[in-house]
Amino acid sequence: MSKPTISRRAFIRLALLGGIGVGLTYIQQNTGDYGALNLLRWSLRGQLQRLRPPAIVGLAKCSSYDDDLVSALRDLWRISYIPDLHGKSILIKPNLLDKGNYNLASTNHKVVGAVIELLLELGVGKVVVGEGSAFRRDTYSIVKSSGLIQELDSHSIKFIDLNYDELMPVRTRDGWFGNIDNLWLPRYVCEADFIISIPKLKTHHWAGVTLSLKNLLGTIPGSRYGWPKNIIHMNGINPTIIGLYQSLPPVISIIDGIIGMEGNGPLYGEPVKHGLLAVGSDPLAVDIICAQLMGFSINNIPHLSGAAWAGVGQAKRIETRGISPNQLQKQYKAPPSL
Amino acid sequence: MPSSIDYLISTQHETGGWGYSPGHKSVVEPTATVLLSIRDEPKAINIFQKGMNWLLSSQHQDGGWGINEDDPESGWHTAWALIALKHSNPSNDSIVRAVEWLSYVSTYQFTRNELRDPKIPMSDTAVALSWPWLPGQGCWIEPTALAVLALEGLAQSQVATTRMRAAFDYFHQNRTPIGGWGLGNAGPYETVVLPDAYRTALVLMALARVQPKEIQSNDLSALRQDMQQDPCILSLSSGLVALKTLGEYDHDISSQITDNQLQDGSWNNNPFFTAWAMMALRGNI
Repeated sequence: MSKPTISRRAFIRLALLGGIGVGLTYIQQNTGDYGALNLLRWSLRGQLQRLRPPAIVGLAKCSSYDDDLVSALRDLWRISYIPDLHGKSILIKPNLLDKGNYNLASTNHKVVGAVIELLLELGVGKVVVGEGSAFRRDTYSIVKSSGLIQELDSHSIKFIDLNYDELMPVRTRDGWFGNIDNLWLPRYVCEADFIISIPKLKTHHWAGVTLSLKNLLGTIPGSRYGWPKNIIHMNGINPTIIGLYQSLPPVISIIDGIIGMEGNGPLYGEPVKHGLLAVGSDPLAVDIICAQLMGFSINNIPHLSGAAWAGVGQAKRIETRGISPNQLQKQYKAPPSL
Repeated sequence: MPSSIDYLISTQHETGGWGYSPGHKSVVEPTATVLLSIRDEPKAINIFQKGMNWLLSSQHQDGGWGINEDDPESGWHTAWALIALKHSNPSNDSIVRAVEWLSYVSTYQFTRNELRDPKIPMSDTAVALSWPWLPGQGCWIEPTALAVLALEGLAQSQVATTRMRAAFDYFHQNRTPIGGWGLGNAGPYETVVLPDAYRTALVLMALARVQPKEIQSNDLSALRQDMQQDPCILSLSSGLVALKTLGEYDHDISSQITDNQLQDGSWNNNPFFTAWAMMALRGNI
């Protein structure tokens, strides 16, 4: 009986395939929780954004919270091609901070009031305002101290403490949460047709800036993840911001930059009279423009540079409408982390 | 005006527990606090038993509890469930399993198996052995204080008693410069995290039972200061329970709580806050 033989060519092919297999396994095992395939996919998707239509970001100058904010937002809505919200269920997510100067670090209540008025004018089906404090066990007490309560009462709008809403498991998408398959998220968040993220334009000691993507962290419920929202620390703040955004309903961004915050925000920052309102239906594009208007390079803000690289939104082609960015450019003092 | 008991009767979920809002699914934390608040109320015997049945039935095989029966991962709610059980149903077998889970819950530094290893260096840093919100995570003030309140009087294993001692070191290390406690573990914030009444109250209740001499006068002033700055029901109620535990009575806070009761008998239309207010007016958890 003759011994089984293998030709030299077949041996080389097998060795080559084996080498490729070993190499891919090595790359997969050494690319953290994400894996080589995700990194490749994200990279390709990021490059493909060049072929997609540009994102539109509407910019307006508003020198005071006493200006006609509804008119300003109405104009921005029109020039920014915001999707039709008629009959839709909307969750407004302001940024309500804990201690310190509430009015400085939190979204101004007049901006939230103006957004509510505009949405009612647009004939939305249902509007609620929701936030889940990362520090306080009772977010509603922040609502009362921030002046937002009057805006809600005058329009009969309900406030939802997102830390205490009923929770639903939502499958994580796009690979940003490693081995975590589900996120537990508030029912009001999951069932909204759109989330309108309204952050205060400010620096953040850890994330670099708080803009519309970072503001979404307030949708993570403390009743499941604790206070602060500890999944951020375990998964990393940057992948959590990017991954959370992809697990949520579509997000529309409105940036309250009328008075921004610079330096060691959010707790110990200082006010900046910026006079900026920004609107757009691509949160990444809006955040990139606003970070640039604060004088920061997005290369120094990992959740923005990461989302841009991975094509989580349109970062390659952004067009601004309304006031020229040159008229709104500032140089904010950076937080210690930048 | 309906009483707070009437409110809790009307908001009990059909499964037997309470959510944070009427009509919401049962969740362990509000259910446990409601059970603690009604445990001596003759009018509430039926809802108490139904609530206790739900709590017992939602315990996981591993001895812990998630947010409710839908949540497969045991976490910080376990401490609340154990507190409710030991005050209300002390002979139940569930307690043994819950003590086991809580004693060995993993931290960022130690896995469950490592904690079972008798050779493990239990003299490690306090933060490595205190309690996280969820297994495998870093430790924070609130889950640590709850774990101490839950295990106090029940912890007999070496790991549990060692972790209790570590917890007190952790409280000591994370006291804010003006006294009292905030979230703890300020590292990620790279800044001073100020104290708040709720966490300060929980730590004071824990210390009062085991290490009362560790309580400093500025802890109480920090508590009172935040109760004034943020007079929400949870701050006022937990603060009042802590003050009463330490033998201090404050009629003004008691009146503030009473004045905030709503027409439906609740506080904030939230069973969790309502339970805390009821415990505060009674004086203990």
